[in-house]
Order: sequence, then structure tokens, then C-alpha cells
Amino acid sequence: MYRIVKQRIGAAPLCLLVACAVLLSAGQAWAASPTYGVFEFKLGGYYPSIDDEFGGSGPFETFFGESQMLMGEFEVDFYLLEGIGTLGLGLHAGYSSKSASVRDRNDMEAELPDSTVFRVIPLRASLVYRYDYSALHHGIPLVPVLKAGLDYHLWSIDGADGETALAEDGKSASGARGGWHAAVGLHFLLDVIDRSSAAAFDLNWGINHSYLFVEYQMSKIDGFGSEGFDLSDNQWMFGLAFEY
Amino acid sequence: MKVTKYRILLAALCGVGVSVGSISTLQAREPSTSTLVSNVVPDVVNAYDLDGATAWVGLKECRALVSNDIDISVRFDTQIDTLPGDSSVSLFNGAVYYSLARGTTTNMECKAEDGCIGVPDADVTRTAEDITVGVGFRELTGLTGAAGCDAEIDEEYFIRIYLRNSQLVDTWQQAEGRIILDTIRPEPPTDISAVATPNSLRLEWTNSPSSDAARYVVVVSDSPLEGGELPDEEGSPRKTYAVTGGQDGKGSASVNLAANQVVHVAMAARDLNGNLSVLSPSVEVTTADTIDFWDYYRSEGGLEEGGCSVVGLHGASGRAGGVLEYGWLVFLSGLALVAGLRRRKS
Repeated sequence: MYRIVKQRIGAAPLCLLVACAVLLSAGQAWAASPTYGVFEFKLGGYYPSIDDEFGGSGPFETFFGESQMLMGEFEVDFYLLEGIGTLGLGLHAGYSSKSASVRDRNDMEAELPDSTVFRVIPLRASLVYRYDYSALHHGIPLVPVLKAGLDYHLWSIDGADGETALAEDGKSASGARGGWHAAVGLHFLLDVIDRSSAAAFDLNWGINHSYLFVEYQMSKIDGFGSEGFDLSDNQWMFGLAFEY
Repeated sequence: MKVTKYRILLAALCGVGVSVGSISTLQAREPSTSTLVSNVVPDVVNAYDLDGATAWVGLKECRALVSNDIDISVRFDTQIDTLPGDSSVSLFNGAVYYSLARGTTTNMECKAEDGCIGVPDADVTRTAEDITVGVGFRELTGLTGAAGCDAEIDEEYFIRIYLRNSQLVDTWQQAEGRIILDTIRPEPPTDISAVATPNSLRLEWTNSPSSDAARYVVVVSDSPLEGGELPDEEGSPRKTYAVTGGQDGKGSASVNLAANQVVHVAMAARDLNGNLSVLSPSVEVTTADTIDFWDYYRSEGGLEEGGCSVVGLHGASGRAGGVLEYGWLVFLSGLALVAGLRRRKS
């Protein structure tokens, strides 16, 4: 298993960390509470593909530039099956926004005092598989996670007056787009750093295990190919997960 | 100050007791505090600002206080009961008031020659929890008419009480409240420049040279302003807006104008006592015709129309409430919740 991890990650420091963690970890010494699922908090950069409609560079970049938005997301998973790992259903909700100066209709280079704000609230439902068998039984504190599911992203845009923007043709700037996502993540079991605290966490709060994780998520949020905003992006996200 | 000295004599003749024995000195700039007083609360009608034991009064408030002959008061919340059952025990030794030029650091011992005036016992209200000292604003300041406020006054008025926590202690502690009266208008800012939209103004200026100019206001007028006018003249058709931001010479204000409207913008400074300066000369500004991201996206040919998307039910551009995606999401959410609840039960 050690060799497999090394091949997959190819990062010597991480391997060293794993090796130390394996040495540190021992069999579970306390009577753990039953597990029902996992909840996660995560942060990552996000940049919607709205300008793809214009060939790659368009209105979004003109107003909001090229830097990413910060997206925060909360996820709660409910286990359906437990065996060699766990299979669960996950529900996600997040938030991200970005503001920029409005422009002069006659001089797009001029940045004016008022702001326009783009907001997106991603809602997702995922099928989640966690391979935590080796972490729990072999003392290898890494848990690979796979997720895939459906998305529904709410979005809105504020105009210069701070209210939901209205185009000259009367169209209101709020709506939602459907799509799908798939993600792969690697969770590091924090319990191996301080097993007594982990046991106390379970005893007092019912949190069986805590994880620090990184996740790569591919989202295709384009209304399944329909016309309009393309809110797709491929994101790296980082966060904390707690098994309850 | 002539009035003040006259009052000292008057107070002495009236036999108002002011302890001058074992009184410690104090820095005049900040009100002195005592461990026997937990809180000092000035009560000044229409004070421009209140901050702890200090009330700030400007020209406008001064005129109102003097013309209406209003009394001000300071309440001292005490940690001791200054009304003991045994009347022979005295824990309170009277109240005085005095004035100092703004910023003076002179120590005030409140001996007779210092200019302190005793407050008659009738104007002091004591309970088991507090002591309230009342003074007429006219008496405190020596002003007899509202016109007197127009003279450039910049004074700090202190109201002080003396108390101790035991008759066995010789030292009287003192606590003070303060009223800062400033009727001097600050100088206006200069070198105004502005960018305007229908909703806001972005302003840049050179700060007022007056050291106590704390905030700025902007005046928007349909006609040019030469500068030197007062911004708060009653009945003026001009609109005055508060400027947010500030001391770095940059700020903004929320306004309500039309696109492509020509307006004239002038600024005034406001000091810590709320006094406004006269206006700077105005600059002419035309409000921009703004375009936000959504309007620009639509004008560039973007196909998003708002509302909720639907998968394929109504062709490529169909919009009918997001039934399919939303339905799936609700279905999966419900399934997850049911699964979670079933596992918990088992």
C-alpha cells in the first residue's frame, strides 16, 4: 500500500508524513460511536465559464478580470452502505461572489464608483464513495474519495443601484442553471496526530474521525447544453471533514 | 472669564461649600475619574455627540441651548451610598464647575482663585446609586443670548464632584463630566474633483487645514456655487449628502441623480462638534450613463435570459422553471435524508 500511495502521489514529503502517521497510529483503543455520515467545509477558487459563449474572452473578463472568485461550500453526507469503504448521498450548498466597478456606457475603460456584483449559490447532490477501510484497519491515514452528482446553481447579478440588475430589454438578472459534477479527493486522517483528542472528540461530540483534505472537482453547469450562462469550472478545493 | 470670576465671589457670598483642603491636582484635558464612580453620563439636550463623560456642543446646539435657557446635567453613578443613615457622616463634599480653553493642560486644584464655581446644593440630586449635578447652560458658559454663540468660543467646561468612601479617610476623590463647546467653523476643503453616476459621487479633495475637521459633506446644486456660502442654509434648493471615507482626501457619497445630468458639486468640512465650514467653490460634473455586467452581457449578444433552466424540454433555449434539475435535486436530497434517518433509527 505504501508503494501504491507513492506512485499515485509522487510526493516524497507526503509519503514521509504517511509513514510517520502509520507508525504513530495503532488500533482503535476506544469504543467508537456509530457513524452516520460526514460533513465537510471547503474553500477553493472558482471562475465561471460564462465567456466561453463569446469564444473565451468576453463580458465577464471585461468586468471582473481574470482572477478567481473564492467559493466556500458545506457538504453533509449520509451513509447508505458500509463495507469496503462507505457509499453515501451528499448534499452541498455553497456561496461565491465577486464585485467590480460599473462602466461608462460611452467609455468602457472608465471605472465608476458604483459596483456590479455577480453571485452564485451552488447546490449539489452527490453519490459519494470513501475508501476508508485501510485508514481504519491498516493504519494508513489516507482516504481516497470519489463523488459524482447533479448540480443546480442559483445566480444573480446586482446593478449599479445595489438591486438585481435589469437589462435594457427588461430581463432580470437572476436565475439558475443545472448540470453535473465529478470529484476526486484525498483525505488525511487527523486522528493519527493526537489519538486521545480524537477519542475525546468522539466521546463529547460524536465526531468519530476528522480529516484534512484536498479535492479536485469538475463541474459542467450549462443547463445540460442549453443556451445561457455556462457556470462550469474545474476547481481545487481544500477543507476539513468530520465523520459523525 | 470675567463672568466666571464674578461668580466665584457670588458663590462665596452665598456660602456654597467647596472643599479646597486635600484636593489632588488633575490634567485638565481629560475628565478626572474616581474608583468610587462607575459611570459618568452627561445629559445635554441636542448635544452633537456624546462620548463617555464628554458631550460635544457646536454652534447650532449652543444657539438652541442658550435661547431656550436649557439646563444641562451630569449623572455620576456611584459605587457607594452617599446618603448614609447617620447624617453626621459625610461622604459627599459638593460639586463645582469650571472652564478651560480648549486643549489647555493646566492643573485645576479648584482653589478660589482658580475660577471654580460651586454648585448650589439645590441643584444636586443624590440617591443611593448616583449623584446628578444640574447647571444652566447659560450659567455654565456665561452666555446670555444666542448671538453670543456666534463669537468664536472654544472651551471645555468641567463639572466635578468630590466624594470619599469613609469618614475615616481625609482625601476626597473627584470625578468629572465635560462639555466641549466649539462654535468656530472649520476651513473648507479645496481642490475638489468628482466623478458622478446617478447613484454615487466619487470625490477627491485637499483636506481642510483645520485640525478638528473630522468629516465632510458634499452639496449638489443645479447652478454653480462660488464658495463661501453656508451649506446648511434653510430653504436652500441644494442637496447635502454625507461623505463616507475621508481623511486621505478621498471619499464617496450616495446620491440620487439622473444619467447625463449636469450638476455642480461643492464640499464643506464638519468638525468634531458638528460645525460646518462654508462651501468650497463648486466644480461642474456630468453624471455618467452607467452599464453593469448584466446589461453589457445582454448588449454583447449573450443568450442567458434569467429565470431557471430546463433540460431539453423546450428546445435548446427552453426556460420553464427548472423542473427537471430541481426535481432531481429535491429527490436526491429527500433520499439522503430518509437514508440518514433510517440508519439513525436502526
